[in-house]
Amino acid sequence: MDRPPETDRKLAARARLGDLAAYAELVRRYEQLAYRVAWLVCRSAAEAEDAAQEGFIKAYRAMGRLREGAEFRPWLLQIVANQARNRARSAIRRARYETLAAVDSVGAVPSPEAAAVEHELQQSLLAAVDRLPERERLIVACRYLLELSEAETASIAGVPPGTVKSRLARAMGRLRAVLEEVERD
Amino acid sequence: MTNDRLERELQALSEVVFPATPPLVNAVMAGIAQPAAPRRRWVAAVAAAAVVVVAVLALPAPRAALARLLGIGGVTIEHVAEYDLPPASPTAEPLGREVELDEVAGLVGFAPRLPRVAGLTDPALFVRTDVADGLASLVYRNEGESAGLIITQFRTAGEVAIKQLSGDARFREVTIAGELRGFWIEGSHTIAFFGADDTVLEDSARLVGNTLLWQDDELTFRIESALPLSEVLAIAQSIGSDAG
Repeated sequence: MDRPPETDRKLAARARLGDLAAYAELVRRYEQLAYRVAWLVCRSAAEAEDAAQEGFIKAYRAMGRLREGAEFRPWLLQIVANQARNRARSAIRRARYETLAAVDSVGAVPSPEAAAVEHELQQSLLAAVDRLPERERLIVACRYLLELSEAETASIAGVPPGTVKSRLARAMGRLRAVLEEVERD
Repeated sequence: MTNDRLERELQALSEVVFPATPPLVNAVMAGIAQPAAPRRRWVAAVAAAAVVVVAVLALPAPRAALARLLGIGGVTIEHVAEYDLPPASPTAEPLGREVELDEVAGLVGFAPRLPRVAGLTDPALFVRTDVADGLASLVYRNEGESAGLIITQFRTAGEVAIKQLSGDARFREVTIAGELRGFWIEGSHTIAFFGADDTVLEDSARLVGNTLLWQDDELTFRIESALPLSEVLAIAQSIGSDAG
């Protein structure tokens, strides 16, 4: 019978003692999430890859500072977001800026007609998310695209949880208005 | 449209928005196997060689993109057609209250870094504790041969301040002490700080002139002055090398 996967806490405790295999498992477990957080912050695939890598390396070297019993995931994501934020300042990145709305392929949908409607809705929603102020867009993306908790979103955005709530409420109001307009048309 | 429906639509976007995740494990484990770079010694060596590199951005960039892309440390920079953060009244004290140098660390949680360049008089120290983790400002008054400048320092904790650029304000990216990225903003623009509840502190909003902004680890710095960029960079470098 397969053993259940080790918890993050156990893997982090082993990694703190220098167990590289345990840390590699944590990297495997969170590479996608870390990369996506980095991409949301710096909006460049290349910069996001570097930021996520650096974040994992930095987190490993700082494992001693992860409090006993503290959750690894939010702590890692905060480090990755900071790395991405630093990279996002780069002027070079501006030339490679990738907007959400630039995505032009959507997943498989049942019929051409439904696909067209779904495509339009998705494109409108993407464009609307893209037009949100940066401070709201990151929070919407963390909460709903990555399905992170409010606390994780707050630490990635570097704001108190109450601010996540208020920004989310404002942003959702805007997005709802845009989609209602699309559906009316 | 209900919130639930909107949440579901947003969740569905995650399937189409993100680029494919590259495999990271091997690169991360290889990076871990390398010794950590002795950063501070390197900074000091570069500073000693007095290397200051200025990289000029290709301007103008699309304004709409600038509006949300720029920022450094805890400062967001927006390009706007009109300021919507009007400067506070002249009676406001945007830098906070004046304190003694040895009081600053106890109030803002970090020891302010002082520039080490010849010709600067002793600064007056100002502190605001209602901004993020606290704001410390060194004010060098314009007296005799000494040029006036304000050096503001604060912990980089999320979004601490917002700058709005309008009209002819221009910026370029600069590198300080060989590795610290910064922005040099020429022309008048506004700055305002966020309070603990994430709303703009209206009495902190003010119209400012040429400014150098940069981040060094956990601190964000800004120097506001009428001095030319070369002199401001020298001052910034002397602050940066203070960490060596």
